[in-house]
Amino acid sequence: MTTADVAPGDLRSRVGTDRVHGSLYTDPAIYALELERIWYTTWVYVGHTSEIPQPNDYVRKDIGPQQVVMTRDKAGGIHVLHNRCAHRGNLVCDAEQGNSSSFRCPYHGWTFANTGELLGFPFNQGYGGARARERLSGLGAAPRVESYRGFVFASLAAEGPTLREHLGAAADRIDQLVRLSPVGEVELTAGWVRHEVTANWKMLVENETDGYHPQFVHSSIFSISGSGIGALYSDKSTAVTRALGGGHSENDLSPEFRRLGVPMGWAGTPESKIPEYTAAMRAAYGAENGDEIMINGSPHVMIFPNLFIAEIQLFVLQPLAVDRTVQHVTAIQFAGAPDLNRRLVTQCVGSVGPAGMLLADDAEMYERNQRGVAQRRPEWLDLSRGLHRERTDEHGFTIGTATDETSMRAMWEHYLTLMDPS
Amino acid sequence: MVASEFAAVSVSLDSRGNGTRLRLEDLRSGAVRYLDALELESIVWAPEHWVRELLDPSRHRWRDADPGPSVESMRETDPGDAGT
Repeated sequence: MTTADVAPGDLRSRVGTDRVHGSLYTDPAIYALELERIWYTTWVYVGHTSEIPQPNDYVRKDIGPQQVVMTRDKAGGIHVLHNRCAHRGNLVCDAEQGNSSSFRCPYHGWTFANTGELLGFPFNQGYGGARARERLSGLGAAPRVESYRGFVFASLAAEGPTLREHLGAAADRIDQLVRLSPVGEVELTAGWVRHEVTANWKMLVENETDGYHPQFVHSSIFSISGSGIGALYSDKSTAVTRALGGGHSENDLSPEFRRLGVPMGWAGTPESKIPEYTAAMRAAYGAENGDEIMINGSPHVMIFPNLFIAEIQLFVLQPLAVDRTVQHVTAIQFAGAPDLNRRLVTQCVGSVGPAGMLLADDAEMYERNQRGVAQRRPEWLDLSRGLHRERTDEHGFTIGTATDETSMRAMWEHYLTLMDPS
Repeated sequence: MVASEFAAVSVSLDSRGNGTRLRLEDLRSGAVRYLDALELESIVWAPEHWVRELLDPSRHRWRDADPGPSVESMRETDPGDAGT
């Protein structure tokens, strides 16, 4: 199948206000179009500056099925390069990470700077000498790379909205996260778990801020851990689901945390366990502001299409096929907070580690869902929950209750603007 | 050892001569180069483009004329093996 198989107008007929057609999760032609119009066009989260702290550091990353290398050059500039030799198309970098000013292709020895520039190739008389560099290509580079508070995004389109325009209100949620560090910096240095599911990527995006499922799917981890979070995803809760624009959305539990009024209550961590952290926060922001930040908590925000910040852990979504998606997961670490960071790693091992219960719960649902949606009847998935009680908050955002499907409806609305801009 | 996915070089100090020098061995080929203090100082002060030019494979190992490992590696001998 090719993208030509999706006729103009087809997509709009498959996305309604209160329902979406099952083929959106299963049709390879639609997936191929999504790669072109979403993944290779819009801003996609690639990595974090803390993963390449030193000059000449590099890490291998992905933009959907595209393998890229995120590098920091000697002068500190950040580049996102396609992992493809300009000669015969071999993969140039194999290691997950390293430190090198240049990359040498193992196939014929073509050598590139970590900016992508071609430095040379063996036996250059075959090309008429070293000056052939001027006509031969370097590594392909993402035409636009920008970072926000250390979060590096790339767009494979030369033109389009700026990163700040793309992030919109979601940038405030990154600010909310970063403020939880006494020095205002997040570090993604805890290592990554790569978790693949046989499901369409949009099922994951939708699930990340679906507040309807936690009480069912995650009841076991909530009961074992004694967490009170599950109860916050109910119609009795003052928490809300908020569409932030641009396909981004959040479950905002902070009204409940403010009602609780306990610093770090959102994390279920008593102050006595992390005295150095709470002291550092009050010293950095002042007693009142520091407490407010620690009470308010960490965001639960899905930044379309692939960055999910879930309070203490961070997920990066990577589609590989219409029914294959990888979640790269790490424990968020806050600069200047070693005692808190140790607890966060332990908590994340329990939730999203290799045997983590939260990730396993969701993965089971994703895979069942992918198999289920391939069945022929009924053809549509329902999206109507809470439609009748949606309202606009004081900042102009559309909100629903904690369990409403407001975020999904907004995601699909944005999806159409990218997929069928006519 | 200083190694990446692209190269692996053993780094050591050699003091068999009358002064200390740096011994670099390309572990993938066995080629060896020694660098004395003045040569090292010159590298520290060398302009950036000089290092970049060195990274062109056609400049040294894979050049069309006079190919092969560095001359020093061919001559390397242990003092105990002298004359054998």
